Amino acid sequence: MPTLSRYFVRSALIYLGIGFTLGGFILAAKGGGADARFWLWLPTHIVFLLNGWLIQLSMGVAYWILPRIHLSDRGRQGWAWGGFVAFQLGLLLTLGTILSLWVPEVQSLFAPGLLLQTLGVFFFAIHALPRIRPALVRAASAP
Amino acid sequence: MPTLTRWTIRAAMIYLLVGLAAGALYWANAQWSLSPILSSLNPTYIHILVVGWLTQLIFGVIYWMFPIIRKDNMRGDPRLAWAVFGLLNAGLLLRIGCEPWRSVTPNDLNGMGLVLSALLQVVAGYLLILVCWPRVRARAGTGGA
Ligand code: HEM
Repeated sequence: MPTLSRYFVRSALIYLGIGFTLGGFILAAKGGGADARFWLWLPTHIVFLLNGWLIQLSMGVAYWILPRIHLSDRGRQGWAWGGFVAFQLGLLLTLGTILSLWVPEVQSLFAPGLLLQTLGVFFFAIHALPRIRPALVRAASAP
Repeated sequence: MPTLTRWTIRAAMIYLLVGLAAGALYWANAQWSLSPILSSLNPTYIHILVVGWLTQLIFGVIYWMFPIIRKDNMRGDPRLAWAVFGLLNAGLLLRIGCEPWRSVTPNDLNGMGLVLSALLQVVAGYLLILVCWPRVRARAGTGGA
């Protein structure tokens, strides 16, 4: 598994952990066992699990297993790394919104966070597009 | 395919069918007002799909296909992986039982059920990370210890 895929998948696992934790607090609040203010975390819960977990895992595995351009060459790697960086920055802004329970102003980080995550997926798509094609299987005897 | 993966994929397929059916009933009711009880299926049906189907399926496939740790310890301690399967499904089933029930008749029992469901699913999530983390590696480990 290439380095970038490892970074994507590890980050996905971390956001799964945080997303489940936030969901757990909200579910406990729904059951009357925790402070109702945890409901403020609902949008962050959704973004962490849909984007941080599911989308990041998809990008990590796609970078790993999509057909390569040539032998070990995965093509426009700069775009894939750029996508990773933008996505991480976006998730960090979303992470900041957890503090909105105590500092309501940080909720304003939510939309910029989502925009950066969208940009990250866009960059990644520029990388991945040429790799979405039939795999070229070379015969062992081919020149 | 390891036994655990077969169980997770089977369970995931059942959740997919149940989640799609529950979602269809919820939205059919929103359009045709069939029965007020059906409006309690949201957001339970969403979590049947995203936790029961997607997350569980992903877990089973990672467990099966990601690079192994070592030849003599391919996937880590299987008891941990089975604990993920047990806790995730117990937590989700508890939610499926208590969440719609609570939206119709809130009481202490379904409230406690939701708190317990939260705890079970969160612990399952942490164990899932523990099981999958060592499998995120450059290449399959070879040899023994
Ligand atoms: C991959 C996993 C998950 C995803 C993608 C996800 C996504 C979502 C989405 C989209 C909603 C909004 C539903 C709506 O407003 O109709 C939601 C709500 C919620 N989620 Fe999750 N979720 C996940 C896992 C969990 C887990 C593990 C828990 C608990 C431990 C949880 C607890 C909640 C709660 C309590 C709500 C609010 C329910 C309500 O509005 O009454 N979620 N989630």
